Amino acid sequence: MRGTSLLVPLLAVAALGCGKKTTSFHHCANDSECAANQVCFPDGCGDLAQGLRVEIIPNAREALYAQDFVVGTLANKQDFTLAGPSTIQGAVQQLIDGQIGTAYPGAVSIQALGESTLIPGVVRSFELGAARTTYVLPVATGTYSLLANATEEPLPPIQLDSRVIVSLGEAARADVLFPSSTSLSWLDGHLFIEGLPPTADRSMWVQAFDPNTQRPLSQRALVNSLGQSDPGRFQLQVPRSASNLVVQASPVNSAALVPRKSFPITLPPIGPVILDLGPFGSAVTVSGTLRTSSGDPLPGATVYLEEEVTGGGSFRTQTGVSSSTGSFSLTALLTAVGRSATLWAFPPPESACAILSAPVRVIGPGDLGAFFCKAKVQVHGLVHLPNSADAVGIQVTAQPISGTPGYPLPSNLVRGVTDSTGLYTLYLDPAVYRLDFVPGGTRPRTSRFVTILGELADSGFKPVEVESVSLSNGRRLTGTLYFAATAGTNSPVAALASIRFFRLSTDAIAPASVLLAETVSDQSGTYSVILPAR
Amino acid sequence: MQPVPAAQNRPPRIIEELAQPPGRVVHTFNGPTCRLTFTLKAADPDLDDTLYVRWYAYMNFQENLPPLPADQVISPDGSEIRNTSAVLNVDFSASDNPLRQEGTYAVEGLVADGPLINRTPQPRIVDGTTVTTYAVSYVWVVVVQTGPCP
Repeated sequence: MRGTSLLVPLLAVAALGCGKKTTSFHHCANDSECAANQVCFPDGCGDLAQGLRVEIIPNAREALYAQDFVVGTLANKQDFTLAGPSTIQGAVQQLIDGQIGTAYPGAVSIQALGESTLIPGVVRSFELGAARTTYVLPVATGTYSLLANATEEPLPPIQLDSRVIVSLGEAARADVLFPSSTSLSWLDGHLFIEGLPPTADRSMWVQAFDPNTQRPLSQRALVNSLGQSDPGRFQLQVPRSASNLVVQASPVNSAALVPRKSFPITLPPIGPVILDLGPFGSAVTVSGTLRTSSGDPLPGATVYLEEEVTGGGSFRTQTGVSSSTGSFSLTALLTAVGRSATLWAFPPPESACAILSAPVRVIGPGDLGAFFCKAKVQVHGLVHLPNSADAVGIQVTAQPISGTPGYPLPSNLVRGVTDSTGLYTLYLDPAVYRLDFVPGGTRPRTSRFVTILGELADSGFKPVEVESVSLSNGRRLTGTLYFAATAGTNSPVAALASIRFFRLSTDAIAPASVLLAETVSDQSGTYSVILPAR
Repeated sequence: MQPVPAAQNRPPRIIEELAQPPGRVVHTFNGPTCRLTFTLKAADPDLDDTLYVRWYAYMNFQENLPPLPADQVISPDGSEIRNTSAVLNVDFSASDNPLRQEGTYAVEGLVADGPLINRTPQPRIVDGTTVTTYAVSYVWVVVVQTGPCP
């Protein structure tokens, strides 16, 4: 197995003369590099059954959420026995005088945020809108953090200290315990916008956060607007133990031309708490033009501007889209003296333009000028069939995994198809990618990790040639999804269930799970997938 | 005898029981370690139809809203319910994360059996006849709160 360092991509050698680079995958490229019984996976050579995990979703409508399995040894027929619903449940209580828990009568929303225990990287979230005194939350198997929020009074939100691990068909117990009223204190203050209370069209939220963990210490509360009693007033209920906190003020309407601002506060406050967003001034319209490195207009790019404004707040404009002439228009606030704003432009995936970020200053209405994007990295490579023939018409997708030093992490999925010679060409921003080669038919999908470093050239980045990849042979795996007798279902089999096969990744840069195959069971609960094999 | 009527294109559908996350309302924080994955399984009774997937995220719908850069093509695989899922990954550390700011969003997956221009599937021409194509969608309400993921 080859090395995995992000900073030292192996075989990244500049080819003299043409300015092209060649880049290797993080690990192997082809099965031929592996031992006779091994397959080249994205994280290196390995046995198929080793690190194989399976996620089965029987029927979410009946609260039969994802169930995960480890497959130790793999036969050509692999049946699975599914359990009934897994749940997190418990009592909802509140301490009285900090001593005894008693049933909490108010409505509570419960959120379970986590991921699969067996298949890291597969995120899962579940929510219960309103529970009283007790709750039962059906979930997928996994490891969760549990959050509870009282929805009828402003008690601080609760996050349980320990994580809840839910196994197949298990009812995991996690009681929610709100602190007693006597252990809470009120932060009572006023928020003003340039010296005046918020108006109804510029209404504001406030919320207290822990300055170290950034966790919420209070619920979000509305500031009284003009026309209400005591305009500008807000009240937050926070733990009495919180001596330092940050109050964040933000507009209710994200389109409002009002900045967000954070106010550090020490408790108990000395004197009245008066917060003001400062003299950020009126909004102005600014425009500009996006161009490619060769000077052509860049249409269809998503554009916005982030800035620090006078008074210490921050502001992000609404998102705009560049026109057919590359022009864009944004409504912004004036940039604070001595500070700069950042103009972001995200070209459409089919564009050869890279993500653009440029420092600007908004000093009044007008034209910010023309902005030239760098060309993306032109990435190409060859795909072969196991018999070394050219793989024609193979779908290739590049999924960003993590950023590279000096460049933002892109989020866009880039697609391509191999041509009649098995060649694919993708235009990518510098980042670490998972390349997925999806042949369809009786061949399995193949994935590889590759780091695309942005090595600057005249008008963008040097093109990169990725080493060629050979698809693996396929092996058909079939089986039936049965319900356990204790599952409490009407049918003995799971029809129309989603089944996904993953491999645990040991790659240091992309530590997660990689999808190997997916399918859906038929009416009789039978499934069939193609997995890689030698 | 009357000529055999031309075959009609039938619309694709989204298997709601297999949509992930399973609930229509999804809560998340917006810290840099937060991630969300939206997954749809699509079916089309016309087994040879290619399916086109497009994703949107918005607070206020606009007619000419640009899609998220996550277009996907699901090729026929012989199954009515396609094996390949439509997937949208949202990484909150990405610079162009569409859900970065706190607030309530709609995240919409659009599945069509014709290539999409904006939100409209383009008709296909089969043997000189224009065949109507269809798009179906599934929407989650995503509530983004300020804070780190637990």
